Amino acid sequence: MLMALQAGASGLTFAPVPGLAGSDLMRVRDDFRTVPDPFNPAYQVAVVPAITPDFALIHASRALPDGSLVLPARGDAPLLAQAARFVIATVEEVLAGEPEQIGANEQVIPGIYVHVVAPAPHGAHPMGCSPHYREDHAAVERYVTAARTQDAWAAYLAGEVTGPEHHAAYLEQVLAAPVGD
Amino acid sequence: MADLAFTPEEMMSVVISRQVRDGETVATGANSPIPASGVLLAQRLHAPRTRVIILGSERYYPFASGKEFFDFAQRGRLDLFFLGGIQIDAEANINLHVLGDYEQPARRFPGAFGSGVLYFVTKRVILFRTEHSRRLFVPKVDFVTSPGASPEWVRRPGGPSKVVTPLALLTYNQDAGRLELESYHPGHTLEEVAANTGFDLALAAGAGPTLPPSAEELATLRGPVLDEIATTYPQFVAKARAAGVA
Repeated sequence: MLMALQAGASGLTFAPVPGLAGSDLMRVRDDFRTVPDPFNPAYQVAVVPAITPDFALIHASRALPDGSLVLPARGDAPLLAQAARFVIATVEEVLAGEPEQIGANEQVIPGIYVHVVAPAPHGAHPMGCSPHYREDHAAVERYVTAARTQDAWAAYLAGEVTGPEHHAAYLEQVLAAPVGD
Repeated sequence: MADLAFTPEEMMSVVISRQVRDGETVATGANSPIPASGVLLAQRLHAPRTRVIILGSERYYPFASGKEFFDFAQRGRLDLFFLGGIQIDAEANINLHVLGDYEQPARRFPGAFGSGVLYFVTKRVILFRTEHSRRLFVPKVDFVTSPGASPEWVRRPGGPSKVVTPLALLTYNQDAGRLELESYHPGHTLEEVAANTGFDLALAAGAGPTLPPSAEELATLRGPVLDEIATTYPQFVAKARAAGVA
């Protein structure tokens, strides 16, 4: 998938991918193909179509006045932003113009990729958003447990996803219980 | 097994540690505390020049993105990696997708997580699971997420090396293209391993009992190694400490 996103980001229509050949993935995915390596016909290589998402939804720590996003380093969000047609960002805070400090464990997605920004404090919950808050283990546990049966899953969705009227109501509900570390 | 002075997880970490060769570049996947502790143990004992990459860790993850990690592996820079499987068969095919038919699965699992690539490009891959059963070791996997071997028209610099479970260490016989029993762990027997494996398990040359963990291996594992992975795997470390093996 990363190779397919890279192809999308680079304006290519497909990408060769090492491996995959001979797996059942090649059987069930008719958009995964095998072609001769044009530079060494003794080998065949798997190719996958480029992914160019219509929208990328990215949650960041901070938005700068020019729309640039500051977010935790070591993620593939920049690749997603490059590949997508339209980037919608939610952020912990929008900075009005004060000088910005980028931490050593942060990266920047330039504003030129970003189309709209909306403030959504605690918007990554139940996952973490460094340096603001860490993953909420208790909330993730609830999700994992609920995913085991249809009934528990329906109850979880009704209680924590579709139930709260809006983000603020969701936060009020889930943060009422002490947030895990 | 109450008479054993170590847990099955500790035995697995120690077995994994012994597979690491000094100077190798070794990566462990997300949610893999047993391989991570095994690799760090090796680094503290016989393989001090091991370069360690732990996915999900801050300290042991030098890359800017997940894609950079895959590029690194695809470029051929990774000597050893660890994968699991909901099913593993005699030919070391692994299934991480479904039980039953793909279109009408009895159970659906999260999927390949890059194993369709990493099983090919990493020089040696060790498979690991914390269970050893007939539902895991099947004659033929229901779905080949990644194959143990490939025809000569596929570029494949690497592939399966070993399988580590709480009962045994299996080895992949390259010539036969099959998994064989290399050793069975203390507290277990050949018969028990065979009875819990759903395919005929040939004995590798020199097959025998697994050497128990040494005092040094256990002390290093329980001390500095657990400390090292505590931030990445807080729950695993808490459980390991609570196990309080006397």
